[in-house]
Amino acid sequence: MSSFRGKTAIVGVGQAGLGEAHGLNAYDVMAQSSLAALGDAGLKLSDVDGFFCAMMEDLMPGLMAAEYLGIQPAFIDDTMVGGEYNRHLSMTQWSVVPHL
Amino acid sequence: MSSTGPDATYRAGLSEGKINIQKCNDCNKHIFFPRVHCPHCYGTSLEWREATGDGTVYSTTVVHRRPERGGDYNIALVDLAEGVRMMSTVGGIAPAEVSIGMPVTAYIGDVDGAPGVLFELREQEKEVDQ
Repeated sequence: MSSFRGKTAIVGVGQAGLGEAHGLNAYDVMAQSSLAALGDAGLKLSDVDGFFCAMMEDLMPGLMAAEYLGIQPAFIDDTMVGGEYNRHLSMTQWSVVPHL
Repeated sequence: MSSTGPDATYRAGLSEGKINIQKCNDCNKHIFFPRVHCPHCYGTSLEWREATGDGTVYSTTVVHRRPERGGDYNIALVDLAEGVRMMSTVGGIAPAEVSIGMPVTAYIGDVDGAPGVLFELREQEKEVDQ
């Protein structure tokens, strides 16, 4: 694991507002935050080749979320483990670092 | 409470008897289901247009169900004239009689207690059949 240190970085972060989101559904909010994160990183949806997501409203959102966004990533992971954010980050490292 | 989300706007349209779908101002393609951005060009400038309702069956199947629960029903993927695809049901004829390529027209009916888009054989086709 020590070989992973310093090899990956979070390069964009996005939020879709906090608090009430009248009329928006969970996928709308997810899309807004995804677009914000990509904009933060200076990337586009067409640059996305791996996709991790989780939400409370739909426990298997991966395919629907990719369909909503209009992307066809090579890798999708929508595993929900209660702490999936950390797991998604570590899975991203495992996906990327061996190929560097 | 004002509804500003795309899905809420779509459903509000159905309640008013209109099938409104989004059109991208950047690439001019129609999109469905409702979204906050265009899945084709990723633009975020979308406007609402009322669909003509004309469609063509892209694929069809029959879901079998006990007669006491309402009997067999049709599930179809319908391509609208605007270029978007909807999953719905074609009524008015036997579920197994729906076929790929069949011209259909949308109407708004009850779907599980809320207004939803349903399809029936397009009018001129009915006359030809008779």
